[in-house]
Amino acid sequence: MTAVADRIAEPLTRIVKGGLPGVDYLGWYRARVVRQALSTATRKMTVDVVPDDKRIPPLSAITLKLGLPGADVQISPGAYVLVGWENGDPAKPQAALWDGGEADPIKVVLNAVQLFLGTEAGAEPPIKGITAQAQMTALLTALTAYIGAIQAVADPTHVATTALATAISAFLSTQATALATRARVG
Amino acid sequence: MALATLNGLDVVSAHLWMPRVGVWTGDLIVDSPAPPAGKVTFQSDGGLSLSGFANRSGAYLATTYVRIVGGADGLRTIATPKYYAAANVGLVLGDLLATAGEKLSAAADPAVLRSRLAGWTTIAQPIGSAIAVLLARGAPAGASWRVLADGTVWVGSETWPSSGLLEQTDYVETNEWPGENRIELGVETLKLLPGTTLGDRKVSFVEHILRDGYVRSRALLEDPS
Repeated sequence: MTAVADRIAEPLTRIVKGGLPGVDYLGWYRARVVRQALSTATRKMTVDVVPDDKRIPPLSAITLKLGLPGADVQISPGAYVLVGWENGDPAKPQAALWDGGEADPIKVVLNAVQLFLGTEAGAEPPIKGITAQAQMTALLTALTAYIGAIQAVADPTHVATTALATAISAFLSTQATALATRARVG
Repeated sequence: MALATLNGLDVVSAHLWMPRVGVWTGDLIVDSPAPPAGKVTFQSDGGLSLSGFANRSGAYLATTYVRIVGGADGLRTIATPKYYAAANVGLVLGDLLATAGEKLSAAADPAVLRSRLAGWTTIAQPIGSAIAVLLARGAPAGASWRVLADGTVWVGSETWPSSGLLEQTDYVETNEWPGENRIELGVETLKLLPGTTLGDRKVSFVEHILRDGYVRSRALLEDPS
């Protein structure tokens, strides 16, 4: 109860609120995510949440809306979201608008025909790491065989051949470490 | 002989408000040094019998004042927050009424009670408000609710039955306020109920006044649709 509430103000407030059914369903409330699920069939994301405000019950399997078409996310346990009801309809709870949940997401997937980072104009396609790694391995394996075959003629002292073979071997054994671990492109 | 009694006690005066949507209430003065408490029955001689609850009462200068509320006076109870992944109106309403200590009317419309809900969120708010939201958003358009004279909670679609009252026989129209679409009836006893018709006029809100032989029923009428 606020400081200004009294025998007149409180009933009047109740009357006004009573004339606006569903007014509380038009608000947004902070809630902690306790479980998240993604339907692979419908790509619909849902969450179970526990609102901070005890006037609102825990809500299960409610739709998680990100506001970004094609985006799927897997968030950290305990992340916070805001919950509300679409059009103020108590039958349509939803979670949206990260409120701390955007920090350290476990996974973000952008399902789009095209994706540009930075600017679209002049953008170039990135190299697909695993594919490029396999191609590079095949190429260098062939090159290693080739230098072995021509060594007697091209490198009688065997110095250059040994150096190149060592470099190729070192590259092949460490190239996996050049792959990004936190980003992938399809 | 008093024109009405409350738990058998003579009623000196009564002012009752009966809305078409919501709970009826009344302010009474009764001839008793002991203020009634708890469950009460208001009986208009030859007319309405109302089952309610003494919301507030007390005596002052040998006069006992009582405010009565229809049903068990539980509709101002705060609802227990609960989420339903799937439900129907009857299930949610049943939970609300159980929390309120109120009873569902046997006349409640099964079609409204069976209305399916893809989900439902009951938040902590007065149960009367929660019922209003439930019917406004979860039931077919036009669904209504009110506490009946017998103290049970009715939900359903208005059928506007005749009040059964006949002009000259049961009432005389003593005043009319066209600007407010409101009329006043001089009556022998209190009978008019909201949700009924007087002729072709739909009665939305009824105000009964009884004091010193002055018996009136004022009705706020529905605007023509």
